[in-house]
Amino acid sequence: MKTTLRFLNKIIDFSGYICIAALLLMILNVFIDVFVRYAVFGLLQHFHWVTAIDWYNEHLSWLGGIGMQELEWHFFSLMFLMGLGYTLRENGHVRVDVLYDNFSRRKQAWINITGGLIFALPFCALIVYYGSSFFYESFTSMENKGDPGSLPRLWPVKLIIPVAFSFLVLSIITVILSEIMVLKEGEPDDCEKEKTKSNIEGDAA
Amino acid sequence: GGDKKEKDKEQNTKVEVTQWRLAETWPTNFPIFGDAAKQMAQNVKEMSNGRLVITIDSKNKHKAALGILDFVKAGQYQMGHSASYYWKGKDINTLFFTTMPLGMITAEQYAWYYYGGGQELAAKVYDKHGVMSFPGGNTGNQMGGWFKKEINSVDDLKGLKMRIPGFAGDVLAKLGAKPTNIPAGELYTALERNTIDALEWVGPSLDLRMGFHKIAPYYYTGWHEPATELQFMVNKKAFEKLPADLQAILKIAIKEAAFQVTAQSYHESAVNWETMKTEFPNIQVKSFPESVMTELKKANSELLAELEAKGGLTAEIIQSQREYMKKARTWTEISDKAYLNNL
Amino acid sequence: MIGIYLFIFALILLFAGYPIALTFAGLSLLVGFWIEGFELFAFMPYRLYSIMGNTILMAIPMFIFMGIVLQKTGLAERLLESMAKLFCSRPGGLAISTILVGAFLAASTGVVGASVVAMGVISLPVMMKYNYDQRLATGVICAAGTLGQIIPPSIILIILGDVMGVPVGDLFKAAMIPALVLVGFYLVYVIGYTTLNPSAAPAIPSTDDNTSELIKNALKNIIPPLALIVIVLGSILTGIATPTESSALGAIGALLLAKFYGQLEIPMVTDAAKETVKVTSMVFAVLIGATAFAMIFTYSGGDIIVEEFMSGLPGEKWTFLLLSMLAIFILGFFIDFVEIAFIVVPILAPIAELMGLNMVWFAILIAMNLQSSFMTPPFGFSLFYLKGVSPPEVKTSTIYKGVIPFIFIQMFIVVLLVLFPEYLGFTM
Ligand code: NA
Ligand code: NA
Repeated sequence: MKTTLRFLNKIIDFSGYICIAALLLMILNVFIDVFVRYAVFGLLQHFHWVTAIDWYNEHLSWLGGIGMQELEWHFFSLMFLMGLGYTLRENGHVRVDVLYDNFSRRKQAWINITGGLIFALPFCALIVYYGSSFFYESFTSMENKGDPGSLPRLWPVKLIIPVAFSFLVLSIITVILSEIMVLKEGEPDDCEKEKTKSNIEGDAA
Repeated sequence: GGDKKEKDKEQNTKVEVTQWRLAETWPTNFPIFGDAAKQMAQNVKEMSNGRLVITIDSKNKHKAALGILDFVKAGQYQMGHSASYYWKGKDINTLFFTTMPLGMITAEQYAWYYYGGGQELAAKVYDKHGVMSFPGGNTGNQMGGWFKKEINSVDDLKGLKMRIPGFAGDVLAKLGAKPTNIPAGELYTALERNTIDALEWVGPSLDLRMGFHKIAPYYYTGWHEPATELQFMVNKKAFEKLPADLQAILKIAIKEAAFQVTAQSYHESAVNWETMKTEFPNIQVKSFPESVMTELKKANSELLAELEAKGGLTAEIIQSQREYMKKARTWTEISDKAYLNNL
Repeated sequence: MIGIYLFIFALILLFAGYPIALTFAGLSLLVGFWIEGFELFAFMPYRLYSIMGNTILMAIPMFIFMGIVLQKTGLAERLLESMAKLFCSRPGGLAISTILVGAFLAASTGVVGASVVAMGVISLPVMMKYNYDQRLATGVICAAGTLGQIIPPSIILIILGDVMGVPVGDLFKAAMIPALVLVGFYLVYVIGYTTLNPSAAPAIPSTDDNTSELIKNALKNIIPPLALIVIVLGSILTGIATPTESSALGAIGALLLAKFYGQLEIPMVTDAAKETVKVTSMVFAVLIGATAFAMIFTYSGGDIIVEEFMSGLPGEKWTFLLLSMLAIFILGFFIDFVEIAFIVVPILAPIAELMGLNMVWFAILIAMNLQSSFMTPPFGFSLFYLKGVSPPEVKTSTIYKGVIPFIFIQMFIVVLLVLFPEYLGFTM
């Protein structure tokens, strides 16, 4: 079971890296769009430099165009949806902790196992199921947004839904397994305590 | 989800009540557009003596303004109220059943739809999706939008940041404008603060409440949506399950509601324009100069030719519209246009 | 009946401490299955998709990232140190500088936890060393650290703008005056209290540095981040850019500032990104749970019941206002602003609109009210964060007592907003 857990944790770590990359790409993407719109286009328009605008539209219209504006929320979606599972493993989702904090570690483990099985898993499984047909519909109809300069296809962003919720399912299973370990082996090891503490300091809300 | 049929216990008769649900693109109580489905549902209820009851879910409830085709296709809703050109990204042939830039005006378009082959073409397009499509009320000629600066030449369009979606946006982009996406809730702020230089919405009937006239003085006359037709959709399987009389009732109820909304749109536009004009005398109504119109026409036909080159049903629809418009326009010229010119 | 049992069962589990977002999601599934069957959940991808394409909410992670990067450059530390030196010679000087720095940090970020933690780590030990009254010290830190959510940019204002259909830029603008008044009242309270009870906040023996040197030093630490704040907030308030666009400018600007302080390193950036992802996903998880809950709520007719109840009340909008403010305040004790904003506000907003309330004003009222939820026990983010970084001799009950005066000040501002909106920048 320990090797399974280690393997699952590696996968969740990987999804965390995807989130980080998506966040940084999103920031860069929005920044470029803003820069192009205000700095480049604002100036060209202000000075009525029509030839330059024509040249731009001819060769670089994708830069700062609607396609890139769409890409912004593609990265955004990738970041927060993939982050759902990662955050769960990192114990970053808010709880009503009035009582929880005072429970014994064993009781907490039971809560996390029960909640995972009754609430989290069925919900996520259903989202994976319906999200897949949502994606498939878009894939088969070769859908795009249909605005001037739109990205050619919309299915990649819709695919994020079933994929991200599959990762969340993995994360829920990881948490359940490690809570079962807690029940079997008593108190968690020091490394896990460390993790909970760093969360308190790290998470701002 | 199938139809929910339940016995009408109160009357203790054996009348079977069919419950249907309709999803609309618009938020709750959206003026005019939102009245279409309400009117239709009421018509159905009265004519069927309560045997077919249709409840309406607005965007506030289903949260997916542009998911209506999917909903009706999958049968989650038996009906929808929206506009055909929203499905252009899924199926390019749906583009042609709302309105086309520099295309037919309302009367011409209805004539094409009912007598010029439009209805048959629509059936061909929507059959593939298991959906029946009906006209859902016409807004009439839409205004060209609110501009912060005057447009005197094509050069003024170059780099112009404008909120204008769909095919008309493609046409403007060909002339060097930069179509931009802005969520409806942020439109006013975006225009006020020069995030965008111009936007198009609908016309006086719905523009007044948005307040654009307070920040953009130039109100341009229309070219891009001469006859915007909304759309009723019905899931085909659900329709076929209805008894023949309810089928007929539904069709008539839809047609009546569409007619009602068309008249209402014209009325509201007239009333609201009166208000705008008297309360905000600074609004300047403008039309694009001839040089701009020429370029728009050129760009429009080039883009249409690109679509036509795809052949198949797309080409068939484009040709049907083009030929019918030629015919109908000749009559419009010597009837309505001549009449108005002579006054 | 089963629906009610499920609801009670879920409440128990909510208080048992299972993550709120997943509890709501799971509860919705169970109840939804009972009411309409599984097929209702075919709508969920569409609801998710409308969240994904929401470019207004996209500002949230970028403002968080900006705040965390600024935090990691040691901005809070340097500010507090130089400010404290300036004000330490008077009683309560440390408390005053904590409030000022809190307000300043608030303008650089929309998140609360980070500034509470930063000031708890730096300011609390110093105050304790100089025998500050523990209640005053913890209260000031909680209150000052919480300012981030009312002083723009603010996550809660972005969410409220989206949920209530009001432009976020307008909310930012409207929040400025009430927020400054709030800071002013905090200062007045602290100065008054420490003047009357000098022993609660003793002056600190001054160091040898001369004052002009101190001012120069403070300015050196304040001006670069201030410039960034002015650019970001300025571009929103003057309307040069949308909040989302400004948030990207802020994020890039924070990175440049880190470079300026010689701290732009890859581990720092990835750490900041990781923390941003966690906070963002936490917020959006609640949004997803809330949208599932809202789906069940409306498809089972709950919205109509609430609307009929609220519009059937005597006294119309005043009763509604009182009830909704009270509901939010009380709920704020138990659940946090994210759930309130995503679950409760969508139920109230349409009714407020129907009653013709000024929606910007109503949003600011809610935001000011929610400010308290951070500080009301037992579940208040700020209390929780401060407790997490306090030395063990600071008792939880001390913190609870310490925030009470500040909660009263906030409620006072809410009352002012209701009675004298025109003096706080609203044209009703
Ligand atoms: Na802030
Ligand atoms: Na609280």
